[in-house]
Amino acid sequence: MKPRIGGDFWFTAFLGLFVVLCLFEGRNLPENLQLATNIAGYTTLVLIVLLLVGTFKPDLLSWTEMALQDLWGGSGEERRPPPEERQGPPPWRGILKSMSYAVGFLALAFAFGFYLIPPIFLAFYLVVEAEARPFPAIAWGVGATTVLTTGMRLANVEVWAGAIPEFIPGYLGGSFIPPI
Amino acid sequence: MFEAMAMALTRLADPTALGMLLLGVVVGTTFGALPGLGSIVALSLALPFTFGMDPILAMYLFAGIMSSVTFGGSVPAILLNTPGTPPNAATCFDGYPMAQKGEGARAVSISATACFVGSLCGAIVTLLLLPVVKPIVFAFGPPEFFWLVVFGLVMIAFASRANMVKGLVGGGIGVMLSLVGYSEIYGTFRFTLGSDYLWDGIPLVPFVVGLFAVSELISYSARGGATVARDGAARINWRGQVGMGIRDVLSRPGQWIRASAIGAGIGIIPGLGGGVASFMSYFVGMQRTKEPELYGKGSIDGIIASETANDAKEGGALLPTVAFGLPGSPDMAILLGAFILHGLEPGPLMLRDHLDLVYALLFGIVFSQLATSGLGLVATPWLARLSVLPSRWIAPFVLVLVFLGTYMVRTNIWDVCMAVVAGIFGYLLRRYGFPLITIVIGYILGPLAEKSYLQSMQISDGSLMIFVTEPISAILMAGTIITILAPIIAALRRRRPGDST
Repeated sequence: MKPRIGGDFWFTAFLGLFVVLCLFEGRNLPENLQLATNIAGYTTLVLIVLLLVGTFKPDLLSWTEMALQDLWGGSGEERRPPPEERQGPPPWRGILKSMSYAVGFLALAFAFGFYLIPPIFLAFYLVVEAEARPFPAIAWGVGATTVLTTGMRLANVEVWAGAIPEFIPGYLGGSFIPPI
Repeated sequence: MFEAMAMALTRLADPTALGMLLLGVVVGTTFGALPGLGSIVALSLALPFTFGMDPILAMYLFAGIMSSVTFGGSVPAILLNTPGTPPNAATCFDGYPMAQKGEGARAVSISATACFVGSLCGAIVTLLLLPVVKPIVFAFGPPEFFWLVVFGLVMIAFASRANMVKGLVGGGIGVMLSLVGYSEIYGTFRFTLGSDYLWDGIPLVPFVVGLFAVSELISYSARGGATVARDGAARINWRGQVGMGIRDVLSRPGQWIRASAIGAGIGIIPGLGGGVASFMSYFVGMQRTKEPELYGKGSIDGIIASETANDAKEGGALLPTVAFGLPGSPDMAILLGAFILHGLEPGPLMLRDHLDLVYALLFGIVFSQLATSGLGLVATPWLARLSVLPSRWIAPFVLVLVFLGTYMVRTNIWDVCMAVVAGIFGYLLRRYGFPLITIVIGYILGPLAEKSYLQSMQISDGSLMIFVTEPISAILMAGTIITILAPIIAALRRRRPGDST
């Protein structure tokens, strides 16, 4: 049977690349600081290689998994995946949409701050995704944001007003962007 | 000791403290009842909001959340066969058949009572063991801590039972991520990629919140629809069965004492979670019961076994967390982060300088469990209705909470970006079967192991003998090696002569 190279393979390869880069970079560190990098890095790398090879030689991976389970997995707990796992993961389309919401919300909040964007985001999401009526959705958005930002101000936390030039002092724009 | 106990109890009478406990109970029960959003998400969400708060009030909030999540999770597990949290899966086996027989309220009542009994027993175990543990803890120096932390890291293997290879990879990745930042001992930057933001390492709160809460939200909102069917909840009639459930538990002391012992015992072992406690208790209960044929068909003993152990675990897990800084369960790993956030160092110093906080947490767990069980007995119909709310109503509010909460800790907008990056990374890990909890264990314990190793080497002028010549250190080393080797030896013995596989 032809091995199926899917997202699992590429993601594992990405993790492997991360470990290799850490090991490579770690060579410049003082000797004692290299220890943790090397122990964790090489052990992880061996296991990652095993996972990658397991794509082409599934028997090898399942044998190793069974051997490890036999040694340390005998807790008496039967593997009973949660319902969502039994149904399989959600389709990528939905996942990408959810990720887009998170990233979009982040980008807009970064630019325009936490006073303006959360109520718009909440109302938009509730109307578009939850099919709520506009007026209650806006009320929920404004209400929730008011409660949260008031709580932040009571806790003496400076609410992020956005990276854009100052538009309404203290509320929209003009926040100091920390160094990255 | 008694002074610290009295102080913790006195603070409980404070209306603000009670308010925090009840807030924790409401948050915990809600997150427990929503499938997918368990105690880890609730705790990681609450974590940034406690920044700047009086530590004792923060402990009450955490106690309220920790003790109420498991009961909250048992409600959809019993009524709709949908475990709110993974450990509640064992409750489904008998809770749902009871609900199908029209005894849902009785099963929920059993769960509420068992949760309280388990929580009380777990706290008693910790209270009894704390004075004994204290002198031992004070004898602990860097070499002893090194072996303890190594032992905790070994537990990654046990924590990743279902997917061993990927669990171990996750642990390794967690350790690698924890190494990012400035090394104070050597004055060197590691893996910072020239970024000022990474000088202090990958920050704990955005990382944990992103890894658990954002990744879960991505999956949760993408699944769409209602989390559970509305018609399933409509059939349930609660009244009249509540008292029966309470009597069911109280008339079976043998069941809940055994389940409590199993739960507290498993809680004490670092790295093992509530899932192990509830399942192990369930299986032991099944072996010991006079009516094994009822298990899986609506056995009262089955619900008592899983739910009591599930809550007794919290008290037990608190012991290694506060005494040694080793998380006894996944939620305790987050709690460990909360201690660090509040400038508290778990371990000997915590028991010496902040014993009142430890007692506050313990008493908080018991009192909030009492409140949770009371709430559960009274308000179960509303909890069930919460479970049938569509995920698309809940997800945006939780995302806003995540963003504002993460930002609050350091008022650094890049922390929110880190949470989103960690969330996307966490989702990919989750999707491809890498257990998130092993990453967090590696992330938290990795630097502790390295720090205690480097301190030991400084004390001994570079001699590795310090790890074997100190008596407690040698005992811990032997214990760790035995933990690793014992299963291997047992497996070799099990293998029959001539068996080539």
